[in-house]
Amino acid sequence: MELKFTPEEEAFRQEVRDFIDANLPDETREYMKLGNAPTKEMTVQWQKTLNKKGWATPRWPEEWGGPGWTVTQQYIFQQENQSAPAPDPLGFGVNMVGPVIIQFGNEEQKKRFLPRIANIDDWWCQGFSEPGAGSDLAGLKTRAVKEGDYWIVNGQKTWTTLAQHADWIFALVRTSNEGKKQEGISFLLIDMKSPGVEVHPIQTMDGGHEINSVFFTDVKVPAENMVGEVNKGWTYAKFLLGNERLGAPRVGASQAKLKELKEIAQKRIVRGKPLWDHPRFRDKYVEAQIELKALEMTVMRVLSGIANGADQSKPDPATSVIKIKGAQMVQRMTELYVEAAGEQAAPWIDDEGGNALVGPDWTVRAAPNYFNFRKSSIYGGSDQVQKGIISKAILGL
Amino acid sequence: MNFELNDEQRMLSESLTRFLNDRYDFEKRKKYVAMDGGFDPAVWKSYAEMGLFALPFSEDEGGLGGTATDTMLVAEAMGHAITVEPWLEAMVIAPELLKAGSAEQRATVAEGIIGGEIVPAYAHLEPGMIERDESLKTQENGGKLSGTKTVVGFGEEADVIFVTAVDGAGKTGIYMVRKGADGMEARGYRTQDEQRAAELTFDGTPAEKLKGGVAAEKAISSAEAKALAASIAESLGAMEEAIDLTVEYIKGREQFGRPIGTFQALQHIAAQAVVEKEQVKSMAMYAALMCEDENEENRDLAMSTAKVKMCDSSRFVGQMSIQLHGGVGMTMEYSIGRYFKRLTMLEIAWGDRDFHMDRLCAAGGLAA
Repeated sequence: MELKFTPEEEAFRQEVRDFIDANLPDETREYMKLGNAPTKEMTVQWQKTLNKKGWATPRWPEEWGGPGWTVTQQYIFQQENQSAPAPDPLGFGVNMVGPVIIQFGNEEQKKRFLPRIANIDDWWCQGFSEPGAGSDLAGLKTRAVKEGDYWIVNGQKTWTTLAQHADWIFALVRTSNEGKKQEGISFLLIDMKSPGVEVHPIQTMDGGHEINSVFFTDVKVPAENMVGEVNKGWTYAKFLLGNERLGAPRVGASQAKLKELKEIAQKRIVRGKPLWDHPRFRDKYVEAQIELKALEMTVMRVLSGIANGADQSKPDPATSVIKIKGAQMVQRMTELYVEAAGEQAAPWIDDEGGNALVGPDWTVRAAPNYFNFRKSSIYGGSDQVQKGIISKAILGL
Repeated sequence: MNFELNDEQRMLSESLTRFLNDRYDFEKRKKYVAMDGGFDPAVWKSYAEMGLFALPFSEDEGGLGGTATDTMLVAEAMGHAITVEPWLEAMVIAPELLKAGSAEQRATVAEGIIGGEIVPAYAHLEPGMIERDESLKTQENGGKLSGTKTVVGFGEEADVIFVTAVDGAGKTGIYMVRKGADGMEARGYRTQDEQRAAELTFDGTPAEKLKGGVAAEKAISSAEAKALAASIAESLGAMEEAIDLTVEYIKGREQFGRPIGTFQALQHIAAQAVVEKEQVKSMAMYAALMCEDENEENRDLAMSTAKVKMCDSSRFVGQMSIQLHGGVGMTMEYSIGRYFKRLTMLEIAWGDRDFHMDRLCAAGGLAA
């Protein structure tokens, strides 16, 4: 066992850091530092910059444009990119549909889609959840019926993140009602510009527009857009969700936030002294650090296992642990920001920047982020779904 | 960065686990606990023959030059079986404290420990002392000790007791006292977790000072850090076993016409226990890797971080194990209570949660 990074890995970290410093637009960095999610333009600009350098798809095989990094290098890159803070490469493309196409798609699909995913020429969104299929995802009802060389799709997807930007959606669709419900699901790639696709915004309680409903009415999808085999989509979806859960914790982002929170607390005067010197606050801060260290070590432990050829067909209990604790960590950070902001977290500030700013800049996003990130213990398999997985797959209950 | 074990480490862990499975089931353990001296000398001898006590000593001293990772594996296996011998004193504390001694001092004691002939004890805590790093009241004067030490593990049975004390100039030292030394009184008793401990009083007791090696404070803080790291691994082993026992129990126990393990309310508690245990596993590795860090402040803050996490997780796992066993979990007849009690004692040992939170808060937390 060895915790320290090798000199080569440290040199790699410096190389990544230097590249980010030299190329990340100040505007993006400053905007994200204030707790804002990057805009579409910022994500696209940065991913194109990374792609030019060959760094947009860290986990892809070299054959399809991956940089050939070790698991440790991938981890270091992610940590540096998140702590900058810089936009992550678009997860729906790079970490979700990309790996599914690489693993299960045909040559034509790979050639057609992968380079455009890497260069974010296409913005992808995820069509999994439906009004009647949340935690019970396999109960989904959006239907695809084969007519000649096309699949005709009818139904509704929901909670579709950033569908308003999307060129493409990867959707789970029902292609059979025979046998178990998991056995009648297929994985279909649908052009969002197809006639019959409609996107309706859903405003979340923080005031933002991040998620949408997507309606499909007699949408014609060419048969060549089916990934893998018909009715095998559930297998591909499980593979995708495993990747999604491993990426959930955003350790680098939380490390940067904790560092910033300390600076904030040192400057902020509460009841006559810096917030940092209040023992109640210090306790909470240190406890958050402890949780983050435990999470970081668990992530590194799983990555080390993968790098050393751990059997990935067996469920690793740590993956569900990482999903649950990763979500809690992000949520805990947002709570601490609200507590640090105190009453200055109160003003509602709309997308146009309306309403008065009554505290430092960082207080603006404190409450909205707290409200928004309640999502993280719900999406990608809720905490309760993860506990169900642990009970059944690990404990055999 | 690498969290994988090498082949030798895997073999060490497997052979010790095999031995304990064979020699340390619940019934045999009851017999050991009831023996004079609180453990079976034959088991102690076997540990020595397996090379456990040789692990921490350097090859020059007749040891195997093992690392804290090796200790972690041993401790985890010991936690599974909730063994009762003072293996931690022999494997971790004595070898660290001896670094304060001369080559000659080290050589004579090391040989006895490695061979299993010497059972060591560590007398550090004093009555009224809440924190482990408080100033000591036990005094050394002209090669003789006076004072009182409390809750000394196997203090009555040990052959060599490592006693911390201050000299006339107020400097901390480590002193070796032999069993039955003049002016030493030992009042032994059983502990909550079925080990033995003693109150020791010294009144002009002849003692040999460890000198010629590293400073005593350095040896003590290093011993405490390594003991803490090992105790986290031990608690991991006990948590793993407690979860296994509990899951097995709720699979078999039927109420309302079906196994209670089919109820989601219980499943989610058991799943949360897995979440806790997995984090302690990560922290046991972190502690093993950091307890040898040369920067003492970094080392101690890392140990405190790991310990606070361990305390929280251990409390959850211990309490849920009893809760899910229901009434039988309360009895001496079932082994689960033993695990809960050992976990509880490990939470208290080597500085409790408050001690470590204080240390972290005073430092402003871990360095980024």
